[in-house]
Amino acid sequence: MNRRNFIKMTGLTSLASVMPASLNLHAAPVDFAGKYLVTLQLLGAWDVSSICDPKMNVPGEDQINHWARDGETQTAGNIQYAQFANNAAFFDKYHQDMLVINGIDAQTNSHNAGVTHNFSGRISAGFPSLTSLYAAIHGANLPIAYINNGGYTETAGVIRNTRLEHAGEIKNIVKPTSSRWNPNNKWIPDEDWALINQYRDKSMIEKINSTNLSVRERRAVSNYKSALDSASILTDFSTALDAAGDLHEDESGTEYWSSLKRQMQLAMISMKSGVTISADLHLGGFDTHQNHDVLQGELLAHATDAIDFFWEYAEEVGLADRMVLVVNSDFSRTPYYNSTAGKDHWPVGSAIVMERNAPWGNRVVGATDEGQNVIPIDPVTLQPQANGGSIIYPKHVMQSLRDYMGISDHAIVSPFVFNNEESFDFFSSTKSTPQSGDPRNSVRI
Amino acid sequence: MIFRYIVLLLLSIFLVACTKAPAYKIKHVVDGDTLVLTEFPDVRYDLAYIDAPEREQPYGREARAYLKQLFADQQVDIVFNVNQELELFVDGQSINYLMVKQGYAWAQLNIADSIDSLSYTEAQKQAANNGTGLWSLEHGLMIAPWQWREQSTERAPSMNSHDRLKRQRELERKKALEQQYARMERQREQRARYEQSKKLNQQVSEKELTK
Repeated sequence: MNRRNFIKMTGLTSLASVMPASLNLHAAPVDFAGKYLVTLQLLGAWDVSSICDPKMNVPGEDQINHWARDGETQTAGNIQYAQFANNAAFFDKYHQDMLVINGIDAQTNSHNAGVTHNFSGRISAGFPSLTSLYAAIHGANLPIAYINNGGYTETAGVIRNTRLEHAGEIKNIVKPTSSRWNPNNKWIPDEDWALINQYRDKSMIEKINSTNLSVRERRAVSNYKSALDSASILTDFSTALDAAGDLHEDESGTEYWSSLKRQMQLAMISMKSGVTISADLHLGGFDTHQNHDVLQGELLAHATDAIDFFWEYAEEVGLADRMVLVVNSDFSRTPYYNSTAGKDHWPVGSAIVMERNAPWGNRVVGATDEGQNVIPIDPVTLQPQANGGSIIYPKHVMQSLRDYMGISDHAIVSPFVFNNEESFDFFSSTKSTPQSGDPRNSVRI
Repeated sequence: MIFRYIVLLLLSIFLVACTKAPAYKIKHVVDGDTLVLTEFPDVRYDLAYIDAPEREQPYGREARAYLKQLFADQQVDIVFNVNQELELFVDGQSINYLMVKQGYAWAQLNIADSIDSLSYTEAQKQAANNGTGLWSLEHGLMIAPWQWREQSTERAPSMNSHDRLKRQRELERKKALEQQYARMERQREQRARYEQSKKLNQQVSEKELTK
């Protein structure tokens, strides 16, 4: 290397070393005016034939659902639902605000593969969740841009995720000198704490201005500073948490323990405080290989009750018009019972997308036959098409959600493109797929 | 006498040569290796030597459609084996073998016990090497039917017990922290009292000194 090149290299290195580690980290907090995205992951596989893809029993075949011995398929608006659990209250109240996508073929009956496929759009590992992409695009600079409380957690490095099921941890970060149980008790007097902060700021400025830091050291200082700057935003969140009062306690049933409503509260308070863009909430226990009717009934009732709470609370905090809620699971359950009154895994499931006053609401797309097998549909007209029709896979649902949320063409999404041969027009307000194509499903036996 | 024996022998050879697998009609194809015969409408028969993807499994629909198309409403010749499984023949061609050869089914794992093991496993190897039928699927979708059936009953990592355990640990942690904080508070109060009494003592002794 000659002298001239050496000087050039030195110049470039010093330029690189003064740049922040991540440009996103130093961006000013966005005044986000878009929609907030929340997915509800019902883990273990819900039984869609007992909720949004209702199936009566077929004469001469194994019984699909015991509720259909006395119950009927019900209708709210244009949406059919099963007469089971608390479905009636849920669908009567929210049918205008929901799109039901039936007949999604997850192509697996392994839990891990099902979760990966349904929440990333690809059955192999590696693609980030829709929520992580959305947060990376709209809130990379925010301290808790993406909340993930469990279920599918892959971000592919586009953004960090935060577990937020309890409020205590945030309070500890925001008020490190206060006692956790009694905020008025201070471990360090305020005057001393102010002195410590003063010293830290002074030392930080000295470090940033010093010329003898290595690139790695400078990056570490820069990241530390950005974390401190972002932490100040958390104060608003902490104040909002204090103002929210007592959060929801855990709820339990025969076989489940749920913090779902508290997860919802925390996600919405953090969104309202401007620190969060998207969240994955979870409720487990749906893997009902035994005692299916009782356990699945309790869980579905709790899930629909929690979704109702979600919208009520969103209304209370003033976010109801900006929320998009996607409800999905690993896959579904068999259209017959096993020897222990349970149901095993079935790859064909459903998803529900909800938004207040959505023009695409009160619609069902996709269909299954009397045995809960996929009926191929025309991707454009969404009408059943036995020959030459297309099957809905999770990649199609994910692609249409990406399109709807307006992130498909973003540079962050470009490494994670699906190889879709066809695209379904799920969010059209005029098209839908007729349900109950087989009359045998409406016969009670 | 000898002539009579020769005639009987020729007759029996003729009869054996004329014996053919009995022909049946297929009523319904359940999936790529299960069907119902018109003659026995209440029984579901499995095809011998092969295991096709389940109907709801990737390539299950294709396997079912291919099997249906192979006999296309015509009568099929059927040989029942000892397990009451069927081998189907159309125009002398084994349909079971064709299903494996064309990549619509796997050869059964225990086929090594049967007389046709070599031809079936060889046909499967060729189909896999050529990426024919189900062997053209992505890696994650290429699941043997017996694994698929096993997976359908596998239990999810129990979120419930996990949650309970997590909650129990958290309660224990919270309790321990509370005890620790209470201890610290007590110590602080004791220290404060001590400091206060020290100060009082000092004041008292100062007062006494000034007296």
